[in-house]
Amino acid sequence: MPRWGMVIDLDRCTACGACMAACKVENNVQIVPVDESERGRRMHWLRLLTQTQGSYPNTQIRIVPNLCMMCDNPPCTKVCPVHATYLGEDKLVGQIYPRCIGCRYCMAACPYSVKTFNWSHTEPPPGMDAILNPDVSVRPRGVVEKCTFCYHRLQVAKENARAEDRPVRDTDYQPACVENCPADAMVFGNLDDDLSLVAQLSRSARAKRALEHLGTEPKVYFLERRDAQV
Amino acid sequence: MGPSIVDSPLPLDYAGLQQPAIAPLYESRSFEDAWFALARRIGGPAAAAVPAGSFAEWLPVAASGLLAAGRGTLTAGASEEDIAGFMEARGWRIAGPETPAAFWQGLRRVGAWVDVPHVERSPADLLGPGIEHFSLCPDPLLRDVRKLTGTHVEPLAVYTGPPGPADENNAAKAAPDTYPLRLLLFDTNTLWGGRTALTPLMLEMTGHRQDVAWDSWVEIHPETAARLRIEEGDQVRLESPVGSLVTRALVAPVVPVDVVAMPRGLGHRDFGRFANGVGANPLPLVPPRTDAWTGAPVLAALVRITRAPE
Repeated sequence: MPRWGMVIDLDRCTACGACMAACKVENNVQIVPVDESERGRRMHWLRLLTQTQGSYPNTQIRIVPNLCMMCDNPPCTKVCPVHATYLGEDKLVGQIYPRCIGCRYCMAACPYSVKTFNWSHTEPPPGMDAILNPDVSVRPRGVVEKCTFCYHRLQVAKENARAEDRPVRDTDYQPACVENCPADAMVFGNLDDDLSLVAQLSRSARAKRALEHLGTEPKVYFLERRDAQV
Repeated sequence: MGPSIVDSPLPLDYAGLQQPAIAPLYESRSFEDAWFALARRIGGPAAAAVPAGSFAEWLPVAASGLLAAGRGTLTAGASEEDIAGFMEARGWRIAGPETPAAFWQGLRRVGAWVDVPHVERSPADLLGPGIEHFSLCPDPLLRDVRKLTGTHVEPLAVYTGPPGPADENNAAKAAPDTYPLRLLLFDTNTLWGGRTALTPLMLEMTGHRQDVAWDSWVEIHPETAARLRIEEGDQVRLESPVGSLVTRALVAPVVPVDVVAMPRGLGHRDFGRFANGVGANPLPLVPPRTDAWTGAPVLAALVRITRAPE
């Protein structure tokens, strides 16, 4: 069974936002209208965290894409009273929307703040419902949602592999953010496959995981910027 | 055929130096030397009109006159000529040889000297008001190069001042205290100057790096913000000599103290159901000018900022 993981090279990331846009479109993430947005209710499964260091002209802006870390030891699943969020057989953290009661315990437990809550359900503007992805369900109001590593794509990859009577290969599927990154800053694959690029990069001296001391065992690695290593 | 200084067909002061196509055959002389000799033999005004010595000896003396004129630039080809003239017309003097001998060597090497007719430009059309000295090679870099190489290196070009009269119509320059900040406009890769403001997805991602959605913002240095008692998220009014707008403040040390920056691409009035009325359009703050070098619109203005009542 592959252990799917991701490596994000912060030296390559230009903070263009292509991953954010791809994620929203691929996963039917609600476009929150102005009034709701003003109340801090924006919804992104993948966001760019920005930190500015120094002052002009010696300014450095550190940008880190923030998405579900798909922890091997996820705190969010332990606090869910209804087993709506769980660690699946693929070692990916899933979210069962019809089961979610909207208590938001999982949001509080997630140290990476990657889960978002549907404060309201806004129908897509007239004419824009045609862009919804039929492979991903539209979430109702009052449930928590988060990045799934584009699990629906993995399901297709699994079906294809089953039809061809072979195991799922490292290159069989890519999440939308990885596929759309113009800088090839994001690499995805099987962390347990020593030959895979993602496994090799995850063993780089620059590879770090966020809040590693918490013992959550995230499967998203960040390659530090080289200037940050000095 | 000997070397010669030729007239230019171009509408500018120009002197070109050309090597002989062939060496004089046997003991023959170049046309110019033959002409000099003939004039001396005639005597009188004709002899007085030609210089002493050979034509080759006269050329460096004539060239020193170009140097003494204190104008023009040695160039080597049409494109370099264009660039030199372009810069000179805008107040730049390209560093060149300072002695007659060095000038002659340079002229022999590149083959031409050109002086572009002076074109008056307002300083605001060049680098913006208030900038009187600018070097393409910054002093700290020059110091480092000199230190490393142990040689005296001069900057390639130094801006020595605007060639034209000051732009008296620039109200901001007339009263610098009234508009103490420089506004720079920039494009975001989500809005592309406004072209993608048609889609709600891009409007929501307008400031995805600044954590701003569905709105414009103006970036202000923390020191400036503190001085003006502006805090993050405050509604502020930007005023320039030609317009004003209200937007939200984003306090960040990413701009110089005397500069504020604002994205363009929002504030549409007739661009579809999603874009209309979202954010503020900063272009009305900017005087209608184009960049003298590129012809592009100048996306900058002098402004003042005050807190706008909620």
